Amino acid sequence: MPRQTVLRRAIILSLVVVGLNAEPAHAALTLTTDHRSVSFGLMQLDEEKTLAEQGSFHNQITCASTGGRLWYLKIHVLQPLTAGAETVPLEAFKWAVTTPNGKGNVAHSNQLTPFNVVPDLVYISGANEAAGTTVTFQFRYSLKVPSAQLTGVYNTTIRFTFTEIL
Amino acid sequence: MRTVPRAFIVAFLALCPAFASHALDEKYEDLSASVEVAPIFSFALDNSNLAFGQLSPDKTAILGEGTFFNQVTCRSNDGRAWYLKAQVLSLRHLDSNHVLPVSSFKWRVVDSTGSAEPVGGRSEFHPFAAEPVLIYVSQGKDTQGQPVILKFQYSLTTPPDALAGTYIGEVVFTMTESL
Repeated sequence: MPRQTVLRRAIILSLVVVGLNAEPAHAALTLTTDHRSVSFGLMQLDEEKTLAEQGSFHNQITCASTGGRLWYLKIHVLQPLTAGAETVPLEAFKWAVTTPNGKGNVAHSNQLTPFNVVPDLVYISGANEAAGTTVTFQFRYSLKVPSAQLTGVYNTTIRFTFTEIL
Repeated sequence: MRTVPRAFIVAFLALCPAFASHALDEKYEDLSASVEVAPIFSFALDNSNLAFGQLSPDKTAILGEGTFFNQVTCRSNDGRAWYLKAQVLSLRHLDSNHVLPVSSFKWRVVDSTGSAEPVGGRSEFHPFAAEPVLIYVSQGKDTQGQPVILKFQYSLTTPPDALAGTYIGEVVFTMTESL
């Protein structure tokens, strides 16, 4: 193969790689919460409680991206509500979300959905939401204590994950 | 001539990790969640008036025959075993000191929602006693708050020499948790 052809191909491929690797100068993802813990307090067997003290929601999450790409928000629990060796079944603990200003797709809009230990899709950004627009999410939570559940204090961690799509 | 492709491959491989690490940006935030499940230890009886009506000497009457007469509901969720006992505090004549033998008064659990079987099974009547007799011992989910409902029938057989009149007594159910 002629030396010039090889050089030309190498330069073109290098430019393709550099082009794929390019990002806007100030690309950033910002995820914030209001840090309101999800505390149901004392509950009786068979009792059902919904946390929505702020009118229709309990806490707020905001997402903003300047990366120029689609992004999505997911939610999951690191483990079921747990006290020692005892757990509350996952289907008893649910979340629901609304977004007052999002233009994208809400996966389960305002529907109580059981938590899972693998991330569950909350939202995929819409057009024009990758240039720094802050999208607000309002969450409420529901828990129904099963009729057979040992007394005790059960804890878990809810994780919100904000990811850019390739 | 062959040094150029090598240089390119080296450059390409050097760029790949950088590409991979910047292609997928991700952030996460954690919030804590908690609930305190309240303790419960309860006993409920839906009908506490056992009236056999008029009964001739040497005859037997059954309350709840074909179905059941009353039911008790036991509930506990602290994980410890519990048991249910019952005793009769005499069957005495209302106007004299005459008493009917406590063993002439019997119980039978005809149905149960618990994880264990009632003591003695469901098919036969068992005599009360002046001392508490064991009726049910919890098992499995019975100690996690699952309601245990026991449905009872009662029988009374009057002795041939029973003095005419009205007899009264008390059945005492006791639900106890093991230490």
